[in-house]
Amino acid sequence: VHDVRVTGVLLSLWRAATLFRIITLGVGLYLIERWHTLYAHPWVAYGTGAAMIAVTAAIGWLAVTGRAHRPAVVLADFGVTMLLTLASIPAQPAHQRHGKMPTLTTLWAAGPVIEAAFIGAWAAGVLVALGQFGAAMIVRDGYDGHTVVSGVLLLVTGAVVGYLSQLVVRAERDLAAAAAAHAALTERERLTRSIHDGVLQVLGLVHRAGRDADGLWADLGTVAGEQEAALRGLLRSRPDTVADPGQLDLADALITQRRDGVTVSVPAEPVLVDAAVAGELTAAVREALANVVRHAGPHACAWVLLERLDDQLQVTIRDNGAGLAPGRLEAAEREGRLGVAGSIRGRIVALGGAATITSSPGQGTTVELALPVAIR
Amino acid sequence: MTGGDPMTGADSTPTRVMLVDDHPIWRAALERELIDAGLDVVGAFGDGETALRVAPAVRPDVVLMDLQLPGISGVETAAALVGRDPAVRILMFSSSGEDVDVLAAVKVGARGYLVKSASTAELLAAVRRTADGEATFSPGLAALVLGEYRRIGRDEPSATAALTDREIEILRMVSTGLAARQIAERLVVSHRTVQNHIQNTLRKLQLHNRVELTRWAIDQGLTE
Repeated sequence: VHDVRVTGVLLSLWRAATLFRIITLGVGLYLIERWHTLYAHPWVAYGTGAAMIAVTAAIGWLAVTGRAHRPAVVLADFGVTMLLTLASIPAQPAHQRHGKMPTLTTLWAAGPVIEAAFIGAWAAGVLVALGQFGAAMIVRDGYDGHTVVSGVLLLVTGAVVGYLSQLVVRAERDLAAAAAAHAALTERERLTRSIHDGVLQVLGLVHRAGRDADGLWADLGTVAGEQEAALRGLLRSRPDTVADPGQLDLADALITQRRDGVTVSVPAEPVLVDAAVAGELTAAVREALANVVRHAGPHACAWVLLERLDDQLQVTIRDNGAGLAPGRLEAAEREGRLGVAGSIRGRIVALGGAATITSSPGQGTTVELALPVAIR
Repeated sequence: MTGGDPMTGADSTPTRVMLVDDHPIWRAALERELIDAGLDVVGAFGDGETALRVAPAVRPDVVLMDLQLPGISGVETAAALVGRDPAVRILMFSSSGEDVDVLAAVKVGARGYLVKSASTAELLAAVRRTADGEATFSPGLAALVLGEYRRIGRDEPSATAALTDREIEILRMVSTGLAARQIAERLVVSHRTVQNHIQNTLRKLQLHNRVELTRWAIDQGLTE
């Protein structure tokens, strides 16, 4: 048994239901007291009234302490309330039951309908309403206009309360989520400001000073630069701009490839694409950059450019390395030695795009990846 | 003109630089480097308000300014400086990862942008280029400008903010790391022509920005 107590708007709903139950209990007890001389068995009616008081007290206590929001509680209430409604049969003479005399439980019997609607939305509300409707029909031994009107009102109550309670609970949840997101964003901005004014400035200075130094200081500078870039990447990533969890900002993904000798340039606005597409494109860029390190020479630099055109994404990777002799690339492809170039092309073609590799000696190599995508 | 000689202009006076950076260590380090290179640092301030107050008195050739400033931001300060004197040459200094702000600064009239991790040589070259009236266009900035034109083309097509094929070609070359001189060689045009194309892309973006601001102001006025 999980002792989860409801809070917030659900607790308020249960309190309102309790108030309804108490008021309708008053009405029921008043009618029993007023008509006790007419009943076939007044003591059955009194007993029913006492049971109604007990049920109202028990459910009310559970409700205001937030523990009534459980199927078992509502089912028990539903069963007992049905039995108490059926107690009208021995209590009232036949002509009363078939006439205009209401059942002993009267409006009070609508309680479980409302409670079920809280738990199982409109469907549960309607189901329990049908049960109460059935009980009333057994008491009346059939149905007349009065019973039908009450029954329909009960059904509508179950449906409407179920629908509305779900709506307000969802609204409350959305509001809480929005408040949490706002709080997270505020905290993030605070941290970003603090990191920017402190740690990043120092890392930047060390990075810059290391450029003019040798040995350990130069290494320290490089490491500081890498850490600075990594920290900036973290601060820059904007999870809040990506509404769809299946999408990623390709610009953010490509920026992770930034390091000394690799310049990654992207548009200012996020380029949202499917996470799988972002993953493949980033992998292709990573391979192309690894290729630069392998073939273009130790001092080669590389530039990555991301462009979002009207109907396609374009990623250009250029290096200023040694380049390839004319025909070498084509020859390698003909011989089936596709290597990294083939792997890059394979990834892009699999996504429905195209990869172009151009190179000439002394002019470096340029890889262009074009991918038709529906962005956003 | 952009060689080792720190002197620029016909009258051979040192380039007057105003430095705006809120971080004291950075400010001191940069000031020292600029002075060592023979430039005239006419002011080094930690916030935009002071820079705005002092600028008319010291008349800097180049304003070297951090994007992130306490109080009014680097972008707002740049906008105010350009608003007062459209000829002012502002070089924004920023850390990477502030793309949106960099773009905003360029749109209000900054002439260029340099990453903070740039070496001393790169910094001095950029300051001199800016003093000479050339745009300092890093690959990152070129990609931002290119992206902004493409966004405008999609969201709010306008004749004032459209690039020619040649301009697109040049911006893409800058974005992939080619220097103006290399681009001139590849396209078989003069270095000056390449610079003019680059300046044009900035100028049109700034013009578009002013038109948008005016339109916005008129809309506001009409609805009030």
